[in-house]
Amino acid sequence: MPHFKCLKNNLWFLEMLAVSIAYILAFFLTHYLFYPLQLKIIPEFDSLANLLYLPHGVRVLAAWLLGWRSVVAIAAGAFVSQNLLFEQPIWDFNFFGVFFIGIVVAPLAFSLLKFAKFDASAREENPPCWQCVMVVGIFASLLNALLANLVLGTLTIDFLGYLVGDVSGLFFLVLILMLVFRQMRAWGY
Amino acid sequence: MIETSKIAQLRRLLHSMEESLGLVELSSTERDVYYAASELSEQDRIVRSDDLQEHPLINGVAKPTYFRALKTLVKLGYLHHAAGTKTGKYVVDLPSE
Repeated sequence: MPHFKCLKNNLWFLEMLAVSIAYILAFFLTHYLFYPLQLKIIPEFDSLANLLYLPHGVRVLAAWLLGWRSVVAIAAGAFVSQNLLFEQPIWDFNFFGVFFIGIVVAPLAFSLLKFAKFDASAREENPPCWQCVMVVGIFASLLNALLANLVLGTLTIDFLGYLVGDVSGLFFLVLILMLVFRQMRAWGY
Repeated sequence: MIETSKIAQLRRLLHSMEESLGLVELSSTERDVYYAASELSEQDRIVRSDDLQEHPLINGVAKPTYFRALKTLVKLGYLHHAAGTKTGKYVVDLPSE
């Protein structure tokens, strides 16, 4: 199958596939497992915000590894996830606004902080620093919450909820990946 | 020059977290040698020490430090000598943990 081979050799296609699948999985875990649990455990928290939002981790790690290429890589996954949740047409201003902010906010945070002499992106000359990635993730979350507030006019409780959810989502995703890779190493992969 | 793969970069990041959480038994050089060997072993099961020393993760590591790291990795069971060789060729192996 020459066409499939051609696609398989295309790095951009593989990146997009891997990142989008990771985003969709993270999104579904968040909305169909963590969010119902959150409603049961703390029903008094009256907000639509997820307090453990794994997709933020996917977009931050994708931007850390791929830079602005992550916008293309994550777009398909973000579109599918959001379309399934909100069931709104693409031309809806709120839908497109949230979708667009969601895919650009992480590389934007890396670029802005790099401009301010804090380069945390994945480079061979940069020693790996998960705490630096967390700092960029917090900054990206602040940007996301501020921009989403401009588009949707969210309340303060939602703003705080998004912030907590993004940061905890990033931390837990890195933690889960660390445990998975640790186990894979133990199995010899 | 071999470009460090995205997976190797991600593994280095996650390893830095393991280190912070005190879950790691290897030094940063030993870890880099192990990751470089793992990456090279994807192309060929037997990893040559000469190729390993040219890997970007190993660039800048002093030779005595590099050879000490190799020795530790063999001792801990992360690498073993390729069949019929005593030095120079290694196979990535299961860690002893």
